[in-house]
Amino acid sequence: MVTLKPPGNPLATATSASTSQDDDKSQHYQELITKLKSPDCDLFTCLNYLQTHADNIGVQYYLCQHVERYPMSELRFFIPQFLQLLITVETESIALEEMMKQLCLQDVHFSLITFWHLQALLQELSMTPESIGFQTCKRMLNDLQYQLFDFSNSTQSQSQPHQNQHQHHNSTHSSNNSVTSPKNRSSFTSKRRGHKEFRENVMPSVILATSLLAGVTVPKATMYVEPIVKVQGRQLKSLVFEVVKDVKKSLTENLTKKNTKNNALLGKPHGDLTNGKNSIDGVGPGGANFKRSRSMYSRTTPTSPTGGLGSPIPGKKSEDLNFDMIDSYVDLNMPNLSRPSLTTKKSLQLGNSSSGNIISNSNGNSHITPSRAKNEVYSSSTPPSAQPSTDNVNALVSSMPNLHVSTTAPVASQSRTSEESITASIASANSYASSIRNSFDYRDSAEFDSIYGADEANDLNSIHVEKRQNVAKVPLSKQQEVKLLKSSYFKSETQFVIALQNISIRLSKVPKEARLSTLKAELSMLNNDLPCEVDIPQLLPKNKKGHLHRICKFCVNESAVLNSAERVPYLLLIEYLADDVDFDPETASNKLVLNKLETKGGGNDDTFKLTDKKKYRFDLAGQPISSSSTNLAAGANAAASISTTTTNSMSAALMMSSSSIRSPSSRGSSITPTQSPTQPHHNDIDDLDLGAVSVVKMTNKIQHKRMASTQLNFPPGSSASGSSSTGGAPSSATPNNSTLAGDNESSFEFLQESINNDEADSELAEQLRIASIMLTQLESSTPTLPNSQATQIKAKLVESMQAMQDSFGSGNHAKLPKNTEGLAGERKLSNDLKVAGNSYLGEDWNAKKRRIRMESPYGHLENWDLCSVIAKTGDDLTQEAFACQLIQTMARIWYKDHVKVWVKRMRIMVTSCNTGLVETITDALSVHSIKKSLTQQMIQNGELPRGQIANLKDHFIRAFGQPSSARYKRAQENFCISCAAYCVISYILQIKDRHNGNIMLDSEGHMIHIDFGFLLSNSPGSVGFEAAPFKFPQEYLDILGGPNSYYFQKFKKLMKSAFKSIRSNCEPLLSMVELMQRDSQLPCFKAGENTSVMMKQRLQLHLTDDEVDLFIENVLINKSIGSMYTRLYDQFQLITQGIYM
Amino acid sequence: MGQKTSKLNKEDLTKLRAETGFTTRELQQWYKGFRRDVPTGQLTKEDFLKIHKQFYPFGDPTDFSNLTFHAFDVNDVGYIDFKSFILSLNTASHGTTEQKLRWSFKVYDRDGDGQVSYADLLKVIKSIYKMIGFSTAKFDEDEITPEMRADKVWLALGKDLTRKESDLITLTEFTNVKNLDKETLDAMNVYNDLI
Repeated sequence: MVTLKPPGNPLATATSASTSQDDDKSQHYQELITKLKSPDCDLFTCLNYLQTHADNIGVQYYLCQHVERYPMSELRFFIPQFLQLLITVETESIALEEMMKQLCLQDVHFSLITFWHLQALLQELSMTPESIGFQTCKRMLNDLQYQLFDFSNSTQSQSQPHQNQHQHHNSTHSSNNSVTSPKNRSSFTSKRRGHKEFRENVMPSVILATSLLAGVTVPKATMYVEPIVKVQGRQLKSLVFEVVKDVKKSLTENLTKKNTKNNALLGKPHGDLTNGKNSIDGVGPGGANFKRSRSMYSRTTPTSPTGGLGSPIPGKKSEDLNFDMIDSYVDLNMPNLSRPSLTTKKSLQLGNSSSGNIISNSNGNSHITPSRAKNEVYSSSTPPSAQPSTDNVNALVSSMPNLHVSTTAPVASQSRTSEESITASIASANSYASSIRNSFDYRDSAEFDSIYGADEANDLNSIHVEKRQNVAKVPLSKQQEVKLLKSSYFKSETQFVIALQNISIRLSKVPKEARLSTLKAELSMLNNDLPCEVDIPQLLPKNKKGHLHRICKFCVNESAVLNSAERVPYLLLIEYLADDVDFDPETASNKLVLNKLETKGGGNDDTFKLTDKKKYRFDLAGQPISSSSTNLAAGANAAASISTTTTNSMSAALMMSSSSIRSPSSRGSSITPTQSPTQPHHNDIDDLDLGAVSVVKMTNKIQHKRMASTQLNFPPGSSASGSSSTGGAPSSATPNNSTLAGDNESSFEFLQESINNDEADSELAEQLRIASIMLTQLESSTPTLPNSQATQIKAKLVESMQAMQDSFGSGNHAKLPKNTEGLAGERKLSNDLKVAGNSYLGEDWNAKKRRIRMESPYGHLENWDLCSVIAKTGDDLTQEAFACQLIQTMARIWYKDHVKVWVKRMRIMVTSCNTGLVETITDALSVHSIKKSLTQQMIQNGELPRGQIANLKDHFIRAFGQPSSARYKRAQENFCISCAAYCVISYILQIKDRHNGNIMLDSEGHMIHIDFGFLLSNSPGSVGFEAAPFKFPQEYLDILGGPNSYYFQKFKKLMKSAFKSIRSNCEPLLSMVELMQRDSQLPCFKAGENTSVMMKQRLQLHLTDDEVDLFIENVLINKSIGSMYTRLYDQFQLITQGIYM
Repeated sequence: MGQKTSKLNKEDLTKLRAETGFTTRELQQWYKGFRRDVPTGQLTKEDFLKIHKQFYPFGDPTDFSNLTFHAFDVNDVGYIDFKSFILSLNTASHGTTEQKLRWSFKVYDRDGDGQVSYADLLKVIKSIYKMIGFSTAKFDEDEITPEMRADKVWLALGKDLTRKESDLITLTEFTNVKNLDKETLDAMNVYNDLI
């Protein structure tokens, strides 16, 4: 039993610890305090202490108190480390967790970054859902979601002292307003119903009691320990781990593995954890919850027809939605699937309000795992003990769609009659975004509850409704307004990021030639929702005075698809207004926002439009359509279950087609009995199936296609079958121009003139998008069409798309280079040029900025600014971000140590485990691009014989003038100081894959390394390819001026001092790696615990300073200069990838 | 004692419900929590000290822990079982100030003669100071040592500093709420209604 508990049992281990050790400890701890108080104690040191002193509650608390005092910007930097500590270090203390929550409350960007990192972590940990790490992570995420998105709860709670929030629901306690914990710590966790401020934890309660004994004579003693007692009292220990064990026993191992993995993704079966009480009381022997869920399941199915109409029970709904958020976030690929299940859930909730957490399992989503649908069933309806074999599960899979049919169809038909449910169905179109909105909108729902009587709601809930009504009537307090603004900001932010990710996913589904057009269309659509209270944490320059930036526009014409083998990263130029957003409810713009948000709660027709508008925010139509085919690829079994689910759940008619086309195969593999009830429904939609029927007819003009697909979205006379699917598609495929324009009008008057323009643009965007949806479809449906025909159609589509893509905006700007197929070298080049412009060295960033500013309707605003960002999907950006952190750490050491080297700060914002935004380096080009275009130019001019490659010195002379000139010397100096830094960095961190496409030179001569896919312990291809300590080809030496030159001597000197500086300050670096490598899945930690050991070895700590000088000179530099290995690797890259060496 | 049941038996439950401010449900919850954290069902003196070390890392809580153990171990059996635990917790969280003081008296009156001498008082205060440690606590200038604090308390209870050796504090004096200053009162009530 003890072993099952998260951090072990301190009391159980008490006897084993010898007392003499303990005496030493208090001495030791006192020294720790002295160290913390010293001025050179930085956050690295604190992180280290948090790690090494995890075994003591008091010390952890003290450390966290100390950490909290550091500036927010520094704390933000270490978020990945804090989270890593949380999930890997076993401790009885919950101080760190509480500290994180506290910091999230204080700083919106801190909470956003934390939120996104948690998403990423959750997925990484999903392999081991029983682990403490996973549990902690999920708990944090759930708490954070309440904090970020659940305004309704907070509205309610804000009107009361934080301490008493739970007591609204828990009348057994009398409220006592005099008790307020320091810094309102409780506001984070306590607002949930049923959550206790002080749980049944023995340790803090013993201290609570004895501290009172001490307080009789020394009251300070009580006050001293009181905050720790209160924090620890909140600790949630549950027996949920035992449930997992039971589940394991009762299912076949294989299945369980899948399930647990998937549940992990879903964050569900352990959902009890969030319902603190539930997990403790209900779970005991492990079957209770499941039993409940089963009965609930059968009971509620009959009631489902009414389910769609009635609104969900407020309190419960929000709980579910919180799960949804995780889930659907994980599952951006299949957002449409979530729709019917969402409806199902609603109806179920009506039937039984007390079991929401289980129902939410049925939300169709999850990652791309083969077991998806199975798990869905398992987690939602299978009493685990009763289902020992996969066969049974299959049977259950087949029973799934029944439910969907029975619930979704009636719901859908009714949704026409009720505003509220239309809202709901629209909202559910895009799972994640909608769940956010839903939780947000549920104030409306509450209103509806009361309007329509809400007879199903039990007492508790009707109390809720009343309360919320009161809230709606009474003007919000200032504090509430701030909270409302913040939660609206969080929603915008998260939706914004998801919209960007969706674009990337969508881009990967269309043929290469159409990507740019698609991207432009998508961005143009997004522009409809801008300007908005959206910022990009970390990437945009620091915010001043607590203000945030406001993104106002994407430069559609400047955007570019960055060619890459499979994934489609794209470049974005974003116009923003610096420091334009705050949460002061008194400002004019915020009043507008508030007004909008508040009237939304009214529930009448006018406000409905507003809500309607709200739905469009960053909402994109045409969900990544072939995502389901990705799933299909995962396995026949899964495919079958998915397609059955899919058929029912598709919200876009277009999507139907892709599934129906595939269905021969999927049906073949496992036709399920349930297919029959589904059939009628399915057939109806088949008629509208673009892929199967109408594609051929619609190949001539985009206009035609547009109409056709509109038709598809609003199938005439097919509301019964089609309406269930119309929820999402039309709303997003045909943007409501009037509301959008209206929005612009109200908030940004100066925009008036550009509205017409905008409308034209969105028209265009729409057409392009439809075309791209068609293309996607063609791609996926090719098997059923004659090949030649499909190709023909595709060609035409692409042609017309490309014709349209340049029509954005008023002017016809410099055309972007057409996508070039081919080798990586070609891609790298065109990527670079897109970043920099078309000429040999590209358009100067500042010139570009001026040009864009001139064109921008916001350009006249004083705080206008521009930034460029790459949105990536598919790559693991966590490692990249970690590499940047390490480099930044080294840069800090040098800065502190006055080592005058130059390092570029690279910023990456991780938004989930495989998506993120990367800062681009402006005014810099990869060495490859420079050489390539220079070579071409020189050959053209006859300055270089064919077959030779220009070298960097040629570039330097062209860019900076003659070697004797001051400008050239400055560039040499810059090259020298940056090269020294990056040589040390790439040696110590073993950064590999250093071909010229990954090394950049900026317009001042600085060298910048990018792309950190290989570092520390992993390397591309076979080991030993890049065996040189770092890359230092002959031409670097040439730039510096040869072996005896001043700059080469300086380079050596700098390298030595930089290396020695790292050596003598290696603690932060080592402890970072040690911390992050623990249980990490990142490829750079392939060597596991040895990763940090090997890094330590590279630092040559055993050598004296003089010996180190020799080591650098003889071993590092000499081995690197003109290294055969470096040449080999470059040659390899040239031959295989076309990357210039 | 060695019972394996995860629920509190009926008799105990009824008895405890009568004696404490806990509901049946809360008692069951606490019982579960107790059995989870103390699987043997018996919290020993060593466990007790270990807990204090967790919360007071910067000092030495040994003396204080030993002194206060007896406030819990009402039957003097050498360990704290659930009943003793919950009764003490009840006093600490639900009790009136006077009840808390009466409960504390046991700690200060070590020989159980119903009276507390200056030496008794000082001993406890010393153990508290030792437990907290000096590196983290911020004591006022006039009570920087345990002796200074003890003098203050002695005076507050209406005693003469010249009669430290001879005078004694009675239970009535000790539990007289009027003798407490605001700071002490606040400390006594800081956990009110938390549990």
